[in-house]
Amino acid sequence: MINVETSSGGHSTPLQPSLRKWISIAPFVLDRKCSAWDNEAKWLPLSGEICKKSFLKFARYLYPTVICLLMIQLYHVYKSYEGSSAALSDITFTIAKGEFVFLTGPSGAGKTTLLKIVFGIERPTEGQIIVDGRNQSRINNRGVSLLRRKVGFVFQDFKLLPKKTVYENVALALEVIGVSPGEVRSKVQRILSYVGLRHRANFKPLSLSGGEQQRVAIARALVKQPAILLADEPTGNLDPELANSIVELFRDVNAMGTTVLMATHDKTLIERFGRRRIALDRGRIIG
Amino acid sequence: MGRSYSLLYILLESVRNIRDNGLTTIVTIVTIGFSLAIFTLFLLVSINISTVIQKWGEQIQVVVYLKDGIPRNEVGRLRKIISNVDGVDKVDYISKESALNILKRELKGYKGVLDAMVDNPLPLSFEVKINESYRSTDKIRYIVSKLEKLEWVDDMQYGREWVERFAGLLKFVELFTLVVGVFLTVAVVFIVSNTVKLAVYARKSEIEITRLIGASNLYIKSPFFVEGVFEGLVGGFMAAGLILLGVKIMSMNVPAMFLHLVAMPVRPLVLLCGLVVAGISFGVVGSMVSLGRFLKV
Ligand SMILES: Nc1ncnc2c1ncn2[C@@H]1O[C@H](COP(=O)(O)OP(=O)(O)O)[C@@H](O)[C@H]1O
Ligand SMILES: [Mg+2]
Repeated sequence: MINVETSSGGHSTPLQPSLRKWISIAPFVLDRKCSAWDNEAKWLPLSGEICKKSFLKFARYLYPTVICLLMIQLYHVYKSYEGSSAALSDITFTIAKGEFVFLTGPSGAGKTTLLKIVFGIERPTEGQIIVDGRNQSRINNRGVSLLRRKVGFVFQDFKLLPKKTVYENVALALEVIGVSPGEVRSKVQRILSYVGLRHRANFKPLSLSGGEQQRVAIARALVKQPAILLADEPTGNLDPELANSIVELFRDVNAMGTTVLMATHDKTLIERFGRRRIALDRGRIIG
Repeated sequence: MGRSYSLLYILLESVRNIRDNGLTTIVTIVTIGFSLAIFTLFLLVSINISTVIQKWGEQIQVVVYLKDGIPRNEVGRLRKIISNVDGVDKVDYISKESALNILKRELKGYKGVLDAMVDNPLPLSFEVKINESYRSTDKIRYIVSKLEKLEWVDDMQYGREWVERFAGLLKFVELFTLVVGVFLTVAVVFIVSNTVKLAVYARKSEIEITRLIGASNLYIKSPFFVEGVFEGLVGGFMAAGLILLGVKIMSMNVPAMFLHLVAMPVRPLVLLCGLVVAGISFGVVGSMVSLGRFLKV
C-alpha cells in the first residue's frame, strides 16, 4: 500500500528507519484509516485493540511534528488526461526533507505526469498534494510561481530558450526571482563551471550537443539552490559515464540539503546508487 | 530585494526582445502606423465633407416676393407672421435698394445695363432661412404652402431641385460615411489585433518556459507592456507623419476649390497626441489580451 524503502546503503538519508515508518503512517492517521495499523504498524512491539486505539491517538498528536519533516506528500492522487485512461491511480507516498528518491518504471508508467503534478504543471483529477507544507490543490497563479522558485525541474526535453545564450538561459532562473545582478553573475558562473560548461557560456543552446544541453538544463534547475530538485530522465541522452557523473552531481546537491526526486528507467544507475525507489507501472505504485 | 531588480530585468528584457524580434516589431509598428493613418485620413475627409454640406444647407432659403404697394406697417406685421411659421429660423427683409445693390455687386461687369435703368424694378422681398430639420422637399413645400396663403405675398422662389439634390446628397454622404467608417474600424481593429496577437503567439513557448522557471505573471507581462507602448508610440508618430505627408501631397495637387476637404480641423500637436494614445492602446491592449491565454494556471 505504501511504499517505503529505506536503502541499505543510505548513510546520507537523514532519517532513522523508525522515523520513516512513522512518517509513512502519518497520511493514514490523518485519514483515520485503521488499515494503517493492520498493514504498517506491525513492527511496533504492541498488539490488541486497546493498543491500536492509543496508538492512533498518539499518532495523531505526533502528526504535526512529523509533517514538518516532509517535503512532498501525495495522498490518493489520481490523474486522467482527457480522452485517455488513467495516467495515475491512487498514488500515495511521502518524501522527507533531504531524501534522494528514484522514480522508476517503464515508458508510459506515469513518471512525467507525477513530476508535473508535483510541479503544478498538471492538476490532479483527485487527491491531495502537499509540497513543503503547502497544499497544491488550492493553489493559485501566484502560488504556482512561488512554488517554482524553490523547486528546480530538469525537463526531459530541456525547455531551453533558443534565442538566449547558455549564460542567459541559466541567469533567467535567477532574474525572475529578482536576485541582484552581481549575485546573478557569480552564481551563474559558478554553476556553469560546476557542470563543466563555462566555455560554452556564450553559445546558443541549439549549437550544443544533447548532453551539453542536458547539463544547461540541470544548471538552470540548480542555480537557484532549490529546496527540491525534480529531474525527468536527466540521464536519458547521456552515455553511461556522463550519466554517472550527473547522478553524482545530484548526490552532492542532495548532501547539501536539496530533496531530489529523479525519474529514470536506468536499472544499473539505480542499483549503483542504491537509494530509495518508488516504482510505477501503468499509473500505480508497485513497490 | 526582488522588486527593484525586477524592474531593471524587465526593462533589459524588453530591450532584448525588441532587438531579437526586430522584424516582428517593425511589422507591428508599420501596421499600427498605416492603419491609424488611413483611418484618420478617412475621418478627416468625412468631417470636412460634412462641414461643407452643413454650410450648403445653410444656404437653403425661400425668397418671398411681396406685391408692390405694400404699406410699411404691413411689412413688419408680415415679417412677424412668417417668423412664427414652423420651421422658419430667420427672416431677413430685403428692401428695393438693397436688392439693387446686391444685383449691382453680382453684375459688376455689366454696370452699363443697370445705369440705363431709370426706375428700380426690383420687388420687396423676405429671405426666409429654414431650420435644419426642415431641409427636405416635403417639409419645405409645407412651409411654402403656408406662406402662399398670406396676404401681400406675390411669388416665391426656393430652388426645388436644389433642395431635392441636397437632401439626397446629405443622405448619401451620411450613409456612405457610416458604412465605410464601420468597415474601416472593423478592418483596422482586426488587422492590428491580429498582428499583435501573432507577435505574442510567436513567443508562446518562450512565455511558457519563463513561467515554468518561476516567473510571476507580472514579470512575463511587463516586457510585452513596454514593447506595446514602444510600438504604439513609434506607430503613432509614423501615422502622424504619413497624414501630414498625405495632406501636403494632396494640397499640392488638388484644385484650390477642394482644398478645404483636406484641411486639418485640429492642431498638429493634438493630432500627434491622439494618434500616439490610440497607437499605444492598440499595442498594449492587443498584447495583454493575447497574453491572457497563456497565463492561466
Ligand atoms: N498530455 C497528455 N495527454 C494525454 N495523455 C497523456 C498526456 N501525457 C501523458 N499521457 C499519457 O499518460 C500516460 C503516462 O505518461 P507519462 O507520464 O509521460 O509516462 P512516463 O513519463 O513514465 O513515460 C501515458 O499513457 C501517456 O500516453
Ligand atoms: Mg516521461
